[in-house]
Amino acid sequence: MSVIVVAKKEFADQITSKRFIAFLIILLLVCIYSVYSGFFTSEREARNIFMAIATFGFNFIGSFLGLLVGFDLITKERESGSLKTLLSHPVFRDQVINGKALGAFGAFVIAVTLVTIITFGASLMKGFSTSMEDFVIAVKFIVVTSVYIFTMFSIGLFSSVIAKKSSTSLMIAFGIFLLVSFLMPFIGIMVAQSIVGPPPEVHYVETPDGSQGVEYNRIMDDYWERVRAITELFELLSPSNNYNRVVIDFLRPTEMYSFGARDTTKNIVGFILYPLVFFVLSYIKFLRSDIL
Amino acid sequence: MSLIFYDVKINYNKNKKYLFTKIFLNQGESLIEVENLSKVYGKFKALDGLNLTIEENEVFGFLGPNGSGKTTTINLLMGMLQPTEGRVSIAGIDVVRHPREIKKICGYLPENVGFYDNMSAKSNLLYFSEFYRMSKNEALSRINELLELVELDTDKKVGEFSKGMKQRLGMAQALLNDPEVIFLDEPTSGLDPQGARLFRKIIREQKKEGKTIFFSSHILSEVRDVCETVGILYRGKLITKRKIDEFSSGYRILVQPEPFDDNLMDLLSEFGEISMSDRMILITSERDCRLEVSKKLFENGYYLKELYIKDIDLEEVYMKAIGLEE
Repeated sequence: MSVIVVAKKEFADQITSKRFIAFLIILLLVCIYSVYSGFFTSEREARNIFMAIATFGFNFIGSFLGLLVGFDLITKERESGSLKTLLSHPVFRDQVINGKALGAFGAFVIAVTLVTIITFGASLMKGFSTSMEDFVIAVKFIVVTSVYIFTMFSIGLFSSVIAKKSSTSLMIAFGIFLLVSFLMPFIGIMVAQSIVGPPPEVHYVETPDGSQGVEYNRIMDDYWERVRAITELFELLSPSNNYNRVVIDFLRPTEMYSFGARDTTKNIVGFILYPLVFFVLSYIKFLRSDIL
Repeated sequence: MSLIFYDVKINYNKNKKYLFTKIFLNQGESLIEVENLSKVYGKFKALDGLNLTIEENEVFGFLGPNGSGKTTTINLLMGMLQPTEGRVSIAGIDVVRHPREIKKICGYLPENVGFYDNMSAKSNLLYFSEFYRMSKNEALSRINELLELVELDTDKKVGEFSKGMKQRLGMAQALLNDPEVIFLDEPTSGLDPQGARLFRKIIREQKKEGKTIFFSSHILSEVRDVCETVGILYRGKLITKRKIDEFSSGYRILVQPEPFDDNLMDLLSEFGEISMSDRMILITSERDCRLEVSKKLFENGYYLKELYIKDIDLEEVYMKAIGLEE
């Protein structure tokens, strides 16, 4: 199985690379610090640490890990000439790209598992209470977070396939990352404002039966509902937002995260579609490109 | 074409202790057949209707200026590029349809060959060997044999290799699967004279083993040294393809007599076309007339300082061919 041969090499390359090890150490330090600093973990329940490490560790540093593993995956091999040498042996291009993705995903699973176990252990040492259910949540968390990092990896991989040089690929990858992670929610707000317009001017006059107040609330609720519908549509295009929503959803939020109790089906779909779309685009482009 | 029978099943050879692939061709059938092959990038025609046949166990030299389409041709033959038009087959296997089967029977040393810099030469070759049905022991044995062949004995990582060392490793990886057809794209670029000599020796040995070699180079003396057939490519078109000795019609005999005078022209004119320069006489003859020439000169009171057949000047042929096109 050529795909396994490529995946094995990619996995070994990743987990032994300085870049990967450096990110792993940073992730660990940030996650442990977030537990000890007490943010998100005031209730001293072990499950709360997942929210802490998702917010402080993986959502930001994990994104960079994914991007930086993916951005030169193809360009580096193209630049060094090793891709041409590799493809002169009996291996299909789809096996190469699938193997690389599989190997990288394996490395992400290892990184997330390691960080989760160590942070979880640190929280127990600090006297957090735990239950069997927390272990199930831990497994879910590892899978979801690995998929999230893979999403960022697939963005990096896509830019690596379309760019000719690693430097160009890095710029494209970060451009896409900034657009989808940070700019998309703002774009959503701007689009919503331009479509829905400013809040309606309703003169609130108190009547003895309170009917004027009810009408005011209805108009304003309707306005904000329309704004939220548009902004949420744009937020679906943000992988980090989807990741947060999905994590909040399965953590079965306590009152602290009650805002997350809304329906997250769209976020789950967006969360799964994102890596698929970028990976499929990378796959098609890689299969069709000329290796010179 | 349907008459061609080939067997791409990988067999285990107990004597050689590594894998090899058997190819059977029908009589008169060429090993490599290229029909009307074209490759277009946007508006640029890198290759324009190339027709080419290469026989089994032939060493073919591919010449042409930079950008003439040599590397594009090799990449198309190896299935690394999709042709815009035309057809390529090696041992009857369609390259576009079955690129993986082609790679099982071919070896390729690309120009500016690249490897995984974080791995040693052996680890690189071991990785590539995993794409063939070789056991680890067989692979290791083959790799040691090849590293010895290319005189590369080091545990250093490839990132620390010189260009020449990478080139030697490139030759080793091209021979890893004991291929029937070997494509070498500028194989001696970056090699020191000793390395270049070693490569020529390897090519000759591969030829003796019955391999077919497709060899692209800028170094004309090298091509003349190892190739039997030469093709000249210019602006994506094959302008000539001949056996190397067919490039010169007849014999070019150089004579340096003593004394040197004007009577020599008349004296030697019966042997062929005569031209004189720098106290040397060039006789272009249809036969090897050196004995008669020496006898005639001696009988007429001349002594010989030099008398030899001049080799085909491939550079002259090349420049003439390119010049004619231009």
